Amino acid sequence: MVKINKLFIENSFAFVLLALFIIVPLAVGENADIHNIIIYILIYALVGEGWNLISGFTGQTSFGHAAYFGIGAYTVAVMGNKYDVVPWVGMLAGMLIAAALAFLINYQLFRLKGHYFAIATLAVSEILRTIFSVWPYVGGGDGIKILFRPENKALWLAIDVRNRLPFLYITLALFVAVFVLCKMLENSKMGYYWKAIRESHEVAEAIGINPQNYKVYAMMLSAAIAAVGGGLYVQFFKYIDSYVFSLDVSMIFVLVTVLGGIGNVYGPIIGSIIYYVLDLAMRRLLGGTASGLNLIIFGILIIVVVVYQPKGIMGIFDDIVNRRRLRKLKASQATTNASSNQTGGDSK
Amino acid sequence: MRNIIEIRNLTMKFGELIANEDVSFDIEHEHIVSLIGPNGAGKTTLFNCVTGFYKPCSGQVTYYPEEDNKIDITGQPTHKICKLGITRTFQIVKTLSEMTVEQNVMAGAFLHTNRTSEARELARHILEQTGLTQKRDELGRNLTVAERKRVEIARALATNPQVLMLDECMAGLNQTEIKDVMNLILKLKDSGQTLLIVEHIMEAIMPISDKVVVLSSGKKIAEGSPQDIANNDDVIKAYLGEKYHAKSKKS
Amino acid sequence: MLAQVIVNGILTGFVYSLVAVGLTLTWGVMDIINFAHGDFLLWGMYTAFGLWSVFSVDPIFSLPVTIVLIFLLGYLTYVLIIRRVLNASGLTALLATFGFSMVLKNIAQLVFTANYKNVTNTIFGGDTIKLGSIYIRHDYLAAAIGSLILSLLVLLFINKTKTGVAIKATSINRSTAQLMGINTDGIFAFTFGLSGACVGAAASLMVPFTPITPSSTALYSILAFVIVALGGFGNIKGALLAGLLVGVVESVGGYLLGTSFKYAVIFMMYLIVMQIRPKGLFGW
Repeated sequence: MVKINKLFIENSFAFVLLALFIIVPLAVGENADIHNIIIYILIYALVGEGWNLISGFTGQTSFGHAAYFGIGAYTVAVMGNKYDVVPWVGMLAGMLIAAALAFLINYQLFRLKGHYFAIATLAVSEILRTIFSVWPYVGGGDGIKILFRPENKALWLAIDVRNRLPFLYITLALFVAVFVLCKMLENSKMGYYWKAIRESHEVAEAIGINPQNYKVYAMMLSAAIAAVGGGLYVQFFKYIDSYVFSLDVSMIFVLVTVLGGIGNVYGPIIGSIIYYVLDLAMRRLLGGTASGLNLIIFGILIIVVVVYQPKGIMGIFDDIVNRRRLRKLKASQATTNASSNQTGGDSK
Repeated sequence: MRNIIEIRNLTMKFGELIANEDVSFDIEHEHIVSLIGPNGAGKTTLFNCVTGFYKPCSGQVTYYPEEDNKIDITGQPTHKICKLGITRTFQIVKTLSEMTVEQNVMAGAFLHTNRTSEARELARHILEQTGLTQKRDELGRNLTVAERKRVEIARALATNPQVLMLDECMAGLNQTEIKDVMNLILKLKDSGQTLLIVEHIMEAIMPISDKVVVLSSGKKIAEGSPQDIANNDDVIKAYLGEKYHAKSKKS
Repeated sequence: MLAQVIVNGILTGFVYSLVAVGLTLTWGVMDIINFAHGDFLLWGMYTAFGLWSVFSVDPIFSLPVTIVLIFLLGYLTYVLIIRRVLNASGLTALLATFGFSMVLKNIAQLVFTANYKNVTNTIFGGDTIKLGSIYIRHDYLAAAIGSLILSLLVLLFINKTKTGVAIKATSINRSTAQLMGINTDGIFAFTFGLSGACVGAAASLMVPFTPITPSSTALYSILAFVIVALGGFGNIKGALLAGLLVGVVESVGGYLLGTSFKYAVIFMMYLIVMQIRPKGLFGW
């Protein structure tokens, strides 16, 4: 009982968020626009969590996560359309293919450091983009439109366009699973090793970590998570073409995570919420009259947030928490100082 | 008394520059061996060769984790050498700055356990031992130099090494802080730790060493007990200078 | 035919070089990935287009104007945005430049619409020179020569002038440079301006043969990223040569494998080259 209480208190923020994600879709009624937005928020946050593993925790910036996102999407679409495979199986297959690809490519690429690595990830997704735009098996330049066969209705999760709630909750469940996984990983040996590698390659080696291996583990997990996002995306959007491998798509994952707070499990979801709520607000406010004006204001807002708090929205939260903690610390130090002085106080 | 590491004819060159030339010495089990020498004598290079950061051009480093178990670790990757039981600290401290002190030490402690709770327990024990308990939740980047050096040692200790190699862990500290580190090192030795120490501060290193090895311009010029070294004219000329000479005579 | 393809590649390559030289200045010196670099180029092209369509100024004469204007754009970008995120992690600055890129791109779209704009009837026109069996278009040649001259000027400037050496010193170690009495803030602002000037010039040179739309420069910035990495970050000579290499590889790759593969070939080349030289072809 005590343990459960502790779980709730320590993660109260997460539970409040979860409650919101459960209640809001019901509260807004049959509002397709809001439901769409929430689904987007969840999908991009989910992929953001994956990106965060390799780029936030492990410190290896990827500008090419669209590659794994796209692989996940294409796998579900191709397997479903051509072989009537259930999306669940398709997503599983997509995860495995993405992880395998991540292993094959990155085992070599991790010899590169910093920006050189980042550009290499971009190169990989651009190469995939070209391949998928000319490969007839996956629809080439026309892309793939997801087929609906009445006799095979159970195939797709998001069947009814007007009522997206079941799909929304499935997406939510998958996001929660990924979130919990990432949080557990952060507090495991893996998470500590990733962060050690991020902070110093040399220290990592000196304390017995094989950086190459742990970076590859991070990338494989990250790719598999991105593939899940891709699988969800294609079921929701019902169409896919090679644009899904573009830098624009990769950058969405980077953006939502960095905006929310890089290296923080809450970062992607907070960033994604802010991103899409602002986006929606802009569109509502300005209507369709001045297309692009919303994006201009949106761009300015991003700049303002970043300039105000370079660590993103979670950085702003941290500031508030830290200020409170500092005050507490000062109060407690005043009392302990007296005793530590007597014992010689070996720390300064 | 047995040897735990044997360094034989180790040579390391960077292009034309010879950093270590034909260096040989032993590190005895449960002893403190110190490596001294003027700036640029090749001490850190030797550290890097032993711990696998560099692959020596020639020579051999042999490690005896147990009496009759012999492993050639020359040119092995650093993380493998660490797993075998040899861990080092860095001259230019490399605190994991976005991690707390406890997390820094836990990262080391995970070498022998997969469980976070066990790693934390071990880390707390080591924080206690190194006098860092109070700073447990402080971020690495907020620490003073003295604290960073301590974290550096604590993190290395957390990997539970047979041989702990300290690279100038006292440089930049004040007298009290140096005393603290000296006591810590002696405490470690008493608990059965073997140490190889690179140090500049003679006053600190001479009293605690069992053996001193002197490098100059990449070559070993002397090896012996601190007393022998202090009275060795070659060493005094090459390195210690009049200051220490005079001081040691006074005492 | 192959000779023609290679010549075309070299001509395009010089223009790539100039764009990449601009990018390597900010990326190498300040360690800031400027996602708005392509949008600087875009605004340079729209400036040249505006001057041509309103005042009938030939792009070759509007060159000084685009250089100065985009220099100012770069300078202001630094002063208003980059300066404030300079001490944050690299990705934070990237986010800021990304936001700025959105702003620039969408203002362009608002003002000029998404329709293609073309600058026609320029002095160098569409005429060609014939060298043996090779045809060279005047405007391509002018752009290539102009780009080469300007790239070399930047190289000379960095290596030979006092400000240039200060830029170099700052790129190697910011705090030491500061201790040496270099106004690093001023250097950074100037470097950002210089980076803008390079793309401003490239814009005027390209405009006679490049249709303009808000998305037409996106590819240039991706290619510039690859070229900069290929040449080694902050290495101007590297960017110049890598730009040339990319131009030729693109052209020859497209000729041999079909145009849909021409960019894939470049990315593939990057991956292979980096396996052999993980710090770029000319990296230090």
